[in-house]
Amino acid sequence: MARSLRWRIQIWHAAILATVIVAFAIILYVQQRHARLGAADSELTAAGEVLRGQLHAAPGPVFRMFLEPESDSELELESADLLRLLTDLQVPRTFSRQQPRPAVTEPGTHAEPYFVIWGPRGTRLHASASGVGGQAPIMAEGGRGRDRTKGPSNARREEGPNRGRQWRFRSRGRIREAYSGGPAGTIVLVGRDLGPDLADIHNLLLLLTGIGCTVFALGLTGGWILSRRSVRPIRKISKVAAEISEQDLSARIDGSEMDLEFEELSTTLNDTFDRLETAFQQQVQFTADASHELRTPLSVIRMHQELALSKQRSAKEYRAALETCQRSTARMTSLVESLLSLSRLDANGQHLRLQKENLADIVDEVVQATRLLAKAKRISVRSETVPALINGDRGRLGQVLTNLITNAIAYTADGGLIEVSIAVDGDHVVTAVADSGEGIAEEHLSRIFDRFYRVESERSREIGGSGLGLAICKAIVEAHGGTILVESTVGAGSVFSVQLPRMPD
Amino acid sequence: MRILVVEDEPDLRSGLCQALREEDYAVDDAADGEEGLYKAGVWNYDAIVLDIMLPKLGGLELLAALRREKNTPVLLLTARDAVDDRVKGLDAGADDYLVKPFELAELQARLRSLIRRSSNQQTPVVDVGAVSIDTTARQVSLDGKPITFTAREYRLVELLILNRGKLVTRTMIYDHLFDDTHDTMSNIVDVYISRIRAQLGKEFIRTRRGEGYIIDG
Repeated sequence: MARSLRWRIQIWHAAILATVIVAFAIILYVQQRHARLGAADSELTAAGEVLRGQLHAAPGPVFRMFLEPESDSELELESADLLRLLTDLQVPRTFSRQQPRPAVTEPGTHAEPYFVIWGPRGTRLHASASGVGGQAPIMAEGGRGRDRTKGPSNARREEGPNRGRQWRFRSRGRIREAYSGGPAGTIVLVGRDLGPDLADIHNLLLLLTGIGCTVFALGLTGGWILSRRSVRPIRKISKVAAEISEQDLSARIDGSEMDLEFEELSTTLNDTFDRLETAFQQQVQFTADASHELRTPLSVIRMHQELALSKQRSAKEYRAALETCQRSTARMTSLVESLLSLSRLDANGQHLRLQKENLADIVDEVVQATRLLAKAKRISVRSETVPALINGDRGRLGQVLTNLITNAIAYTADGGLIEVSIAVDGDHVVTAVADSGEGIAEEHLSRIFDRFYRVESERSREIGGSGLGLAICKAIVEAHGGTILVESTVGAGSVFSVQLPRMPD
Repeated sequence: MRILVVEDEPDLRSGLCQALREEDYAVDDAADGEEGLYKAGVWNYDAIVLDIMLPKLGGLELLAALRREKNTPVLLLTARDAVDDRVKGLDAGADDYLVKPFELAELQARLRSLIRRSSNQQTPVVDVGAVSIDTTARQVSLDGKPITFTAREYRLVELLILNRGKLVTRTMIYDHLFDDTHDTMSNIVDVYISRIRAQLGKEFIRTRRGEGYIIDG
């Protein structure tokens, strides 16, 4: 399973998807939390500033009374002023507005902001509600930033003019408080229960987790479907390929509804299958033809042997039987040799002895050798050659030319003309053997180089032959990297041309 | 019995003809399909030995054309032993086939069997009264005693017995006993008949004047 492409795609897909989703959720969560808590802190600071401002703004006598509530000064007027001050002291509405929702906090906690003012000696001077604010915070000298200690257990009061004017923060459970020095050594503290904010952040976390899981699941499903879709053509192709066997090479892949890449692959494979099928059929046909060709002389030998041995015969009859067997044996031998040279040539011309040759020499040699044969039929063989260097097997190319010229002689009427020529054409050398013979009918031309293909005619019957001559010529020429062609007009003659790659001088 | 051999390979054709003639058949030959079809149409052969691969007209085409006219038994010779070829041959109307290379003895046995079947004869031995004929051994006997005949005389007895109860015309006798190279003299049949009568008894063969001969079945 781990080696399955589909599973690998799926696992990578899942890993990348999970990483992206988790990273995104974490970043979003941290950023939101930071922003929310930061906002809460700035609100607390702002509220504290308002409170401190109110204290500063209080007239001196009133403020003194505020500082020392147990003092003896009982001035009515001032007392009333103090009362007004205490009534007026409150955190601004703007702050409360930030919490529009009803508090979701447990009883006894303070969703609404509150404040506490301590005196210089740690006496609790005033608070917006009873039981809030906890103990007085320590005003650490030069302390900066946030004091996150959970309460001043080792409280040591800081006194003096350097008392910090900056706002510091502390957290007690879910409660967040900002405190700072007020006028005349007082400590002003503004606090609030962050429950709703924390609940919001918690909800955000749940929401992110939920969305993340959903996206992950959707992504995985989509990926699974996509990977199945992309792997399906592969399965289809492999199924068809598996169906193709020696017995049945006819199966083909239907790539018409596949993606372009797979369609191309299917086309390529189908082409290969076509070629394989053709080659295989040719092989089967070739084997059948070869055995057929061997069976006929074999039948002759067998029949004449049996006949000769069936009763006592005269010496003349035995001689005739042996001669018949000899003819058939010769025919079989030549057939076997032809088959052997074909199979050698099929093995990519491994048996060719290639060397630099002048094609004109080979042509002259063959024309000389066939002159007697031509003379017997009063056929004149004319050759027009130019020097042309090729890389070839002298013996094999001679065989090709001999075959073409003897064929031409055989199919040309007495007194006819055969012309052999060499022409250099760019990178190629073309050797042509033209005869004035009976010609070859159109329907035979395309198959004339096929193995065991015979043009059925009175003449070819008389001439005999294995039906392999031209097939061998073709194999030899192709092993040299050349081509062999035929053009023919019935009644006017045929031209066989052999095109070979030219060797640079 | 007269047989046609259609085979294009000259050595095979000559061997076949010789072998069959030595078995006392009258044998005609043809080197290609057209000649074969012509001869098969003109004469009523007792059997045809037909090669599948023939120039001009293939063996199967010849067979198809022949079957539109006649039911002459046909033994196909094929150099291909692929099932396809045999099936095609038998479907085209061949009665039997042989794959090359074959044994002469088998060819001859199959031919005898074909001829026997075409005259509705189940066994090679036929009895007519006191006369018995064994078509395999080509032996005629009277009251269990073998009678010696020449090849032609034997073939004539065989022809008459295989057609017993039916009139055998002089033309039929010529057609079945002599191949097309034979210059027949008009009275040669009468000579054979009188020789057979001398051996098997005068009443064995009845003469229908001007028509032919008959053996009562």
